[in-house]
Amino acid sequence: MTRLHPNEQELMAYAAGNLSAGKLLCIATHIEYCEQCRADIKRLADMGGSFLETAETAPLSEDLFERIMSKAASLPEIKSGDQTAPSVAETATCRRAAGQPLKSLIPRPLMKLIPDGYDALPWKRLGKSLRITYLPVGDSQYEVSMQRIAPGGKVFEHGHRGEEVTIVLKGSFSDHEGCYQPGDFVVRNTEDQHEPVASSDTECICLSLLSEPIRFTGPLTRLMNPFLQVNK
Amino acid sequence: MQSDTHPKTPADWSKVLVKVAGRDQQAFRKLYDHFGPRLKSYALKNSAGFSSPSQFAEELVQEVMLLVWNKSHLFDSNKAAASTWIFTLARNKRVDMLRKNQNSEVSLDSEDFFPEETDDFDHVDHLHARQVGRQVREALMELPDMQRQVLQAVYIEGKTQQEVAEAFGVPLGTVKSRIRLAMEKLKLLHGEVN
Ligand SMILES: [Zn+2]
Repeated sequence: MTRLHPNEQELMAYAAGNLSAGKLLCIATHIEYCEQCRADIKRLADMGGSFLETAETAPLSEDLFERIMSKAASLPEIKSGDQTAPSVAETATCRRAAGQPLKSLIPRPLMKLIPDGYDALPWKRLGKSLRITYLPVGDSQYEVSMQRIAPGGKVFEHGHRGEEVTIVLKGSFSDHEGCYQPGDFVVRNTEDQHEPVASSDTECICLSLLSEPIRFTGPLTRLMNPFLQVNK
Repeated sequence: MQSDTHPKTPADWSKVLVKVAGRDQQAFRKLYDHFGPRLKSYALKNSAGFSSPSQFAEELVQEVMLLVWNKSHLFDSNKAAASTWIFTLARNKRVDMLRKNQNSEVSLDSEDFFPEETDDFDHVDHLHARQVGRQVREALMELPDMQRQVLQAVYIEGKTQQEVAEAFGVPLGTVKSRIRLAMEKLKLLHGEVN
Protein backbone atom coordinates (compact mmCIF):
# COMPACT_ATOMS: atom_id res chain seq x y z
CA MET A 1 0.00 0.00 0.00
CA THR A 2 1.28 3.44 -0.87
CA ARG A 3 0.06 6.77 0.32
CA LEU A 4 1.72 10.05 -0.33
CA HIS A 5 0.72 11.90 2.82
CA PRO A 6 0.84 10.88 6.47
CA ASN A 7 -2.59 9.52 7.45
CA GLU A 8 -4.91 11.53 9.67
CA GLN A 9 -3.90 9.72 12.87
CA GLU A 10 -0.28 10.55 12.19
CA LEU A 11 -1.10 14.18 11.44
CA MET A 12 -3.15 14.42 14.61
CA ALA A 13 -0.36 12.87 16.69
CA TYR A 14 2.16 15.21 15.05
CA ALA A 15 0.10 18.32 15.74
CA ALA A 16 -0.31 17.22 19.35
CA GLY A 17 3.40 16.44 19.74
CA ASN A 18 2.63 12.81 20.55
CA LEU A 19 5.19 11.06 18.36
CA SER A 20 8.78 10.00 18.83
CA ALA A 21 11.54 12.18 17.40
CA GLY A 22 12.00 10.21 14.16
CA LYS A 23 8.34 10.42 13.20
CA LEU A 24 8.05 14.07 14.19
CA LEU A 25 11.01 14.80 11.96
CA CYS A 26 9.64 12.87 8.97
CA ILE A 27 6.22 14.48 9.14
CA ALA A 28 7.76 17.92 9.67
CA THR A 29 9.87 17.33 6.54
CA HIS A 30 6.86 16.27 4.48
CA ILE A 31 4.97 19.36 5.64
CA GLU A 32 7.73 21.61 4.29
CA TYR A 33 6.68 20.40 0.84
CA CYS A 34 2.95 19.86 1.32
CA GLU A 35 0.44 22.68 1.49
CA GLN A 36 -2.48 20.35 2.09
CA CYS A 37 -1.00 18.83 5.24
CA ARG A 38 0.15 22.27 6.37
CA ALA A 39 -3.46 23.43 6.24
CA ASP A 40 -4.56 20.36 8.22
CA ILE A 41 -1.91 21.01 10.84
CA LYS A 42 -3.20 24.54 11.24
CA ARG A 43 -6.73 23.27 11.76
CA LEU A 44 -5.41 20.78 14.28
CA ALA A 45 -3.56 23.53 16.14
CA ASP A 46 -6.80 25.52 16.26
CA MET A 47 -8.49 22.43 17.61
CA GLY A 48 -5.78 22.14 20.27
CA GLY A 49 -6.32 25.77 21.19
CA SER A 50 -10.05 25.23 21.53
CA PHE A 51 -9.56 22.18 23.70
CA LEU A 52 -7.11 24.12 25.86
CA GLU A 53 -9.40 27.13 26.19
CA THR A 54 -12.23 24.95 27.44
CA ALA A 55 -10.13 22.36 29.30
CA GLU A 56 -10.70 21.21 32.85
CA THR A 57 -8.64 23.05 35.43
CA ALA A 58 -6.10 21.85 37.97
CA PRO A 59 -5.29 24.04 40.99
CA LEU A 60 -1.94 25.83 40.90
CA SER A 61 0.43 26.42 43.83
CA GLU A 62 -0.41 29.74 45.40
CA ASP A 63 3.01 31.25 44.94
CA LEU A 64 3.45 30.13 41.32
CA PHE A 65 2.43 33.45 39.80
CA GLU A 66 4.91 35.36 42.01
CA ARG A 67 7.66 32.91 41.09
CA ILE A 68 6.91 33.42 37.40
CA MET A 69 6.92 37.20 37.79
CA SER A 70 10.23 37.23 39.59
CA LYS A 71 11.73 35.02 36.88
CA ALA A 72 10.26 37.28 34.23
CA ALA A 73 11.87 40.28 35.91
CA SER A 74 15.28 38.63 35.70
CA LEU A 75 14.95 38.11 31.94
CA PRO A 76 16.28 40.77 29.60
CA GLU A 77 13.59 43.26 28.80
CA ILE A 78 11.98 43.00 25.40
CA LYS A 79 10.65 46.11 23.82
CA SER A 80 7.51 45.88 21.83
CA GLY A 81 8.32 45.25 18.19
CA ASP A 82 11.91 44.28 18.95
CA GLN A 83 12.60 41.01 17.22
CA THR A 84 15.89 40.27 19.12
CA ALA A 85 17.95 37.20 18.24
CA PRO A 86 16.82 35.29 15.16
CA SER A 87 15.42 31.86 15.81
CA VAL A 88 16.53 28.86 13.78
CA ALA A 89 13.49 29.32 11.58
CA GLU A 90 14.37 32.93 10.90
CA THR A 91 17.91 31.94 10.00
CA ALA A 92 16.43 29.44 7.57
CA THR A 93 14.39 32.22 6.05
CA CYS A 94 17.52 34.28 5.56
CA ARG A 95 19.25 31.44 3.78
CA ARG A 96 16.26 31.01 1.58
CA ALA A 97 16.16 34.71 0.86
CA ALA A 98 19.61 34.34 -0.67
CA GLY A 99 17.80 33.48 -3.88
CA GLN A 100 17.54 29.73 -4.04
CA PRO A 101 14.21 28.07 -4.57
CA LEU A 102 12.85 26.36 -1.48
CA LYS A 103 13.01 22.81 -2.78
CA SER A 104 16.71 22.78 -3.56
CA LEU A 105 17.55 23.58 0.05
CA ILE A 106 17.80 21.29 3.02
CA PRO A 107 14.34 21.19 4.59
CA ARG A 108 14.29 23.21 7.81
CA PRO A 109 13.66 20.23 10.14
CA LEU A 110 16.88 18.61 8.89
CA MET A 111 19.13 21.67 8.95
CA LYS A 112 20.76 20.87 12.29
CA LEU A 113 21.47 17.30 11.19
CA ILE A 114 22.75 18.32 7.75
CA PRO A 115 24.50 21.65 8.46
CA ASP A 116 26.92 21.52 5.55
CA GLY A 117 24.82 19.99 2.83
CA TYR A 118 24.22 16.43 1.67
CA ASP A 119 27.77 15.91 0.34
CA ALA A 120 29.33 16.47 3.75
CA LEU A 121 27.45 13.59 5.39
CA PRO A 122 29.41 10.39 6.19
CA TRP A 123 27.91 8.24 3.43
CA LYS A 124 28.53 4.49 3.45
CA ARG A 125 28.52 2.77 0.07
CA LEU A 126 26.27 -0.25 -0.27
CA GLY A 127 26.74 -1.57 -3.76
CA LYS A 128 27.19 0.27 -6.99
CA SER A 129 24.48 2.86 -6.85
CA LEU A 130 23.33 3.09 -3.24
CA ARG A 131 24.84 5.06 -0.37
CA ILE A 132 23.38 5.35 3.08
CA THR A 133 23.99 7.35 6.25
CA TYR A 134 22.30 7.29 9.64
CA LEU A 135 20.99 10.44 11.27
CA PRO A 136 21.34 10.64 15.05
CA VAL A 137 17.89 11.84 16.05
CA GLY A 138 17.70 10.21 19.49
CA ASP A 139 14.75 7.94 18.82
CA SER A 140 14.66 4.56 20.54
CA GLN A 141 11.85 3.19 18.36
CA TYR A 142 12.90 4.14 14.88
CA GLU A 143 16.07 4.31 12.86
CA VAL A 144 16.33 7.41 10.70
CA SER A 145 18.64 7.31 7.70
CA MET A 146 19.28 8.97 4.38
CA GLN A 147 19.61 7.10 1.13
CA ARG A 148 21.29 8.34 -1.95
CA ILE A 149 20.68 6.49 -5.21
CA ALA A 150 22.76 7.29 -8.32
CA PRO A 151 20.84 8.34 -11.47
CA GLY A 152 19.07 5.27 -12.83
CA GLY A 153 20.43 3.23 -9.92
CA LYS A 154 18.54 0.39 -8.34
CA VAL A 155 18.09 -0.54 -4.72
CA PHE A 156 18.03 -4.34 -4.51
CA GLU A 157 14.68 -5.90 -3.98
CA HIS A 158 13.97 -6.03 -0.30
CA GLY A 159 11.19 -6.87 2.09
CA HIS A 160 10.25 -5.25 5.35
CA ARG A 161 9.53 -6.74 8.68
CA GLY A 162 8.30 -3.51 10.10
CA GLU A 163 7.20 -0.17 8.78
CA GLU A 164 9.27 1.92 6.39
CA VAL A 165 8.53 5.53 5.58
CA THR A 166 10.48 7.21 2.79
CA ILE A 167 10.34 10.90 1.97
CA VAL A 168 11.89 12.01 -1.28
CA LEU A 169 14.07 15.07 -0.76
CA LYS A 170 15.68 15.40 -4.15
CA GLY A 171 15.20 13.72 -7.54
CA SER A 172 12.65 10.97 -7.83
CA PHE A 173 12.37 7.20 -7.72
CA SER A 174 9.85 4.68 -8.86
CA ASP A 175 8.83 1.12 -8.08
CA HIS A 176 6.09 -1.21 -9.31
CA GLU A 177 3.45 1.02 -7.73
CA GLY A 178 4.39 4.44 -8.97
CA CYS A 179 6.81 7.30 -9.26
CA TYR A 180 7.64 9.48 -6.26
CA GLN A 181 8.56 13.16 -6.23
CA PRO A 182 10.11 15.46 -3.62
CA GLY A 183 7.93 15.63 -0.52
CA ASP A 184 6.11 12.36 -1.18
CA PHE A 185 5.56 10.36 1.99
CA VAL A 186 5.84 6.75 0.88
CA VAL A 187 4.81 4.07 3.36
CA ARG A 188 5.72 0.39 3.07
CA ASN A 189 4.57 -2.32 5.39
CA THR A 190 5.50 -5.88 6.24
CA GLU A 191 3.86 -7.51 3.25
CA ASP A 192 5.48 -5.27 0.65
CA GLN A 193 8.48 -6.27 -1.41
CA HIS A 194 9.84 -3.63 -3.68
CA GLU A 195 12.77 -2.67 -5.81
CA PRO A 196 13.08 1.12 -6.04
CA VAL A 197 14.84 2.67 -9.03
CA ALA A 198 16.03 6.28 -9.20
CA SER A 199 15.03 8.30 -12.23
CA SER A 200 17.71 8.22 -14.91
CA ASP A 201 18.42 11.96 -15.18
CA THR A 202 19.34 12.81 -11.60
CA GLU A 203 20.32 11.19 -8.34
CA CYS A 204 17.67 10.59 -5.73
CA ILE A 205 18.09 11.53 -2.07
CA CYS A 206 15.59 10.25 0.46
CA LEU A 207 14.98 10.45 4.16
CA SER A 208 13.80 7.21 5.63
CA LEU A 209 12.40 5.88 8.84
CA LEU A 210 12.54 2.21 9.72
CA SER A 211 10.96 0.40 12.62
CA GLU A 212 13.01 -2.74 11.90
CA PRO A 213 16.02 -3.49 9.74
CA ILE A 214 15.52 -4.01 6.02
CA ARG A 215 16.06 -7.51 4.64
CA PHE A 216 17.39 -7.81 1.15
CA THR A 217 15.71 -10.79 -0.41
CA GLY A 218 18.00 -11.65 -3.31
CA PRO A 219 20.53 -14.48 -2.61
CA LEU A 220 23.67 -12.41 -3.22
CA THR A 221 22.57 -9.34 -1.38
CA ARG A 222 21.60 -11.20 1.76
CA LEU A 223 25.21 -10.78 2.85
CA MET A 224 24.68 -7.06 3.13
CA ASN A 225 22.00 -7.31 5.74
CA PRO A 226 24.34 -6.81 8.70
CA PHE A 227 25.10 -3.32 7.40
CA LEU A 228 21.50 -2.35 7.70
CA GLN A 229 20.83 -3.35 11.27
CA VAL A 230 19.02 -0.82 13.36
CA ASN A 231 21.65 0.66 15.68
CA LYS A 232 20.29 0.95 19.16
CA MET B 1 -6.91 50.78 33.41
CA GLN B 2 -9.04 48.00 32.04
CA SER B 3 -12.55 46.74 32.42
CA ASP B 4 -13.34 43.88 34.75
CA THR B 5 -15.37 41.97 32.21
CA HIS B 6 -13.98 38.50 31.87
CA PRO B 7 -12.83 37.64 28.35
CA LYS B 8 -15.21 35.15 26.79
CA THR B 9 -14.42 34.81 23.13
CA PRO B 10 -11.16 33.94 21.39
CA ALA B 11 -11.04 37.50 20.07
CA ASP B 12 -11.18 38.81 23.67
CA TRP B 13 -8.20 36.66 24.60
CA SER B 14 -6.27 37.99 21.62
CA LYS B 15 -6.85 41.51 22.92
CA VAL B 16 -5.60 40.49 26.36
CA LEU B 17 -2.49 38.98 24.80
CA VAL B 18 -1.83 42.16 22.84
CA LYS B 19 -1.98 44.06 26.16
CA VAL B 20 0.55 41.61 27.59
CA ALA B 21 2.87 42.55 24.75
CA GLY B 22 2.49 46.13 26.01
CA ARG B 23 3.82 44.89 29.40
CA ASP B 24 0.43 45.04 31.11
CA GLN B 25 0.83 42.88 34.22
CA GLN B 26 -2.87 42.85 34.99
CA ALA B 27 -3.61 41.44 31.56
CA PHE B 28 -0.90 38.85 32.13
CA ARG B 29 -2.50 37.89 35.45
CA LYS B 30 -5.85 37.50 33.72
CA LEU B 31 -4.30 35.22 31.12
CA TYR B 32 -2.53 33.25 33.85
CA ASP B 33 -5.71 32.84 35.88
CA HIS B 34 -7.52 31.39 32.90
CA PHE B 35 -4.87 29.40 31.06
CA GLY B 36 -2.57 28.44 33.99
CA PRO B 37 -4.93 25.89 35.57
CA ARG B 38 -5.88 24.56 32.13
CA LEU B 39 -2.25 24.19 31.10
CA LYS B 40 -1.63 22.32 34.33
CA SER B 41 -4.45 19.89 33.65
CA TYR B 42 -3.15 19.45 30.08
CA ALA B 43 0.32 18.73 31.47
CA LEU B 44 -0.97 16.29 34.09
CA LYS B 45 -2.71 14.29 31.37
CA ASN B 46 0.57 14.10 29.48
CA SER B 47 2.95 13.42 32.33
CA ALA B 48 3.86 9.80 31.54
CA GLY B 49 7.58 9.27 32.07
CA PHE B 50 8.01 12.03 34.65
CA SER B 51 8.75 10.92 38.19
CA SER B 52 6.74 13.77 39.69
CA PRO B 53 3.75 14.63 37.48
CA SER B 54 2.71 17.66 39.52
CA GLN B 55 6.22 19.09 39.57
CA PHE B 56 6.47 18.59 35.80
CA ALA B 57 3.03 20.15 35.32
CA GLU B 58 3.84 23.31 37.27
CA GLU B 59 7.19 23.62 35.57
CA LEU B 60 5.40 23.45 32.23
CA VAL B 61 2.92 26.13 33.35
CA GLN B 62 5.81 28.31 34.48
CA GLU B 63 7.82 27.85 31.29
CA VAL B 64 4.83 28.43 29.03
CA MET B 65 3.73 31.55 30.93
CA LEU B 66 7.29 32.91 30.76
CA LEU B 67 7.24 32.35 27.00
CA VAL B 68 3.88 34.11 26.79
CA TRP B 69 5.34 37.08 28.70
CA ASN B 70 8.52 37.11 26.72
CA LYS B 71 7.25 36.39 23.22
CA SER B 72 3.88 38.13 23.30
CA HIS B 73 5.25 40.82 20.98
CA LEU B 74 5.59 38.09 18.33
CA PHE B 75 1.93 37.10 18.64
CA ASP B 76 -0.04 38.20 15.59
CA SER B 77 -3.77 38.18 16.21
CA ASN B 78 -4.34 38.20 12.46
CA LYS B 79 -2.72 34.82 12.09
CA ALA B 80 -4.01 32.75 14.96
CA ALA B 81 -6.21 32.80 18.02
CA ALA B 82 -4.48 33.39 21.36
CA SER B 83 -5.48 29.92 22.52
CA THR B 84 -3.96 28.33 19.40
CA TRP B 85 -0.74 30.23 19.99
CA ILE B 86 -0.58 29.20 23.66
CA PHE B 87 -1.40 25.60 22.74
CA THR B 88 1.54 25.43 20.32
CA LEU B 89 3.88 26.97 22.93
CA ALA B 90 2.74 24.35 25.44
CA ARG B 91 3.04 21.49 22.96
CA ASN B 92 6.57 22.54 21.99
CA LYS B 93 7.67 23.02 25.59
CA ARG B 94 6.27 19.60 26.51
CA VAL B 95 8.15 17.93 23.65
CA ASP B 96 11.38 19.64 24.77
CA MET B 97 10.90 18.73 28.43
CA LEU B 98 10.13 15.13 27.49
CA ARG B 99 13.30 14.86 25.40
CA LYS B 100 15.36 16.42 28.18
CA ASN B 101 13.83 13.95 30.61
CA GLN B 102 14.88 11.09 28.34
CA ASN B 103 18.44 12.44 28.37
CA SER B 104 18.53 12.64 24.64
CA GLU B 105 22.04 13.88 23.73
CA VAL B 106 20.92 15.00 20.31
CA SER B 107 20.47 18.70 19.80
CA LEU B 108 17.13 18.43 18.01
CA ASP B 109 14.26 20.22 19.67
CA SER B 110 10.81 21.58 18.98
CA GLU B 111 12.19 24.27 16.67
CA ASP B 112 13.24 21.48 14.32
CA PHE B 113 10.07 19.46 14.70
CA PHE B 114 7.79 22.48 14.37
CA PRO B 115 9.57 25.15 12.33
CA GLU B 116 7.74 28.41 12.75
CA GLU B 117 5.76 29.48 9.83
CA THR B 118 7.12 32.53 8.16
CA ASP B 119 5.34 34.76 5.74
CA ASP B 120 7.62 34.28 2.79
CA PHE B 121 7.31 30.54 3.24
CA ASP B 122 3.59 30.45 3.64
CA HIS B 123 1.64 33.08 1.79
CA VAL B 124 -0.82 33.37 4.61
CA ASP B 125 -4.23 34.68 3.82
CA HIS B 126 -4.95 36.18 7.22
CA LEU B 127 -8.68 36.56 6.79
CA HIS B 128 -8.89 32.97 5.60
CA ALA B 129 -6.76 31.77 8.53
CA ARG B 130 -9.07 33.46 11.00
CA GLN B 131 -12.17 32.08 9.32
CA VAL B 132 -10.75 28.58 9.41
CA GLY B 133 -9.92 28.99 13.08
CA ARG B 134 -13.46 30.05 13.83
CA GLN B 135 -14.94 27.20 11.76
CA VAL B 136 -12.84 24.67 13.64
CA ARG B 137 -13.91 26.06 17.02
CA GLU B 138 -17.56 26.15 16.05
CA ALA B 139 -17.48 22.66 14.58
CA LEU B 140 -15.82 21.41 17.74
CA MET B 141 -18.48 22.98 19.94
CA GLU B 142 -21.23 21.44 17.84
CA LEU B 143 -19.86 17.91 18.05
CA PRO B 144 -21.90 15.49 20.16
CA ASP B 145 -20.25 15.08 23.58
CA MET B 146 -19.20 11.49 22.91
CA GLN B 147 -17.37 12.43 19.71
CA ARG B 148 -15.67 15.38 21.37
CA GLN B 149 -14.56 13.36 24.38
CA VAL B 150 -13.07 10.61 22.24
CA LEU B 151 -11.32 13.15 20.04
CA GLN B 152 -9.94 14.95 23.08
CA ALA B 153 -8.65 11.71 24.61
CA VAL B 154 -6.82 10.78 21.41
CA TYR B 155 -5.58 14.22 20.52
CA ILE B 156 -4.88 16.02 23.77
CA GLU B 157 -4.16 13.06 26.01
CA GLY B 158 -2.31 11.06 23.37
CA LYS B 159 -4.24 7.88 24.08
CA THR B 160 -4.37 5.09 21.51
CA GLN B 161 -7.79 4.24 20.12
CA GLN B 162 -7.59 0.93 22.01
CA GLU B 163 -6.93 2.75 25.30
CA VAL B 164 -9.84 5.09 24.64
CA ALA B 165 -12.11 2.12 23.93
CA GLU B 166 -11.13 0.61 27.29
CA ALA B 167 -11.47 3.90 29.16
CA PHE B 168 -14.95 4.56 27.76
CA GLY B 169 -16.03 0.91 27.85
CA VAL B 170 -17.02 0.84 24.18
CA PRO B 171 -15.85 -1.36 21.29
CA LEU B 172 -12.82 -0.24 19.29
CA GLY B 173 -14.99 0.10 16.18
CA THR B 174 -17.15 2.67 17.97
CA VAL B 175 -14.10 4.75 18.86
CA LYS B 176 -12.88 4.61 15.28
CA SER B 177 -16.24 5.68 13.87
CA ARG B 178 -16.62 8.52 16.41
CA ILE B 179 -13.21 9.86 15.48
CA ARG B 180 -13.99 9.51 11.81
CA LEU B 181 -17.27 11.41 12.17
CA ALA B 182 -15.59 14.14 14.19
CA MET B 183 -12.79 14.48 11.67
CA GLU B 184 -15.29 14.74 8.84
CA LYS B 185 -17.15 17.53 10.58
CA LEU B 186 -13.89 19.35 11.26
CA LYS B 187 -12.91 18.85 7.62
CA LEU B 188 -9.75 17.13 8.74
CA LEU B 189 -10.05 14.13 6.48
CA HIS B 190 -7.94 13.81 3.43
CA GLY B 191 -6.12 11.15 1.51
CA GLU B 192 -7.29 7.60 1.66
CA VAL B 193 -9.35 6.15 4.42
CA ASN B 194 -7.83 3.16 6.15
ZN1 LIG C 1 0.80 16.04 2.73
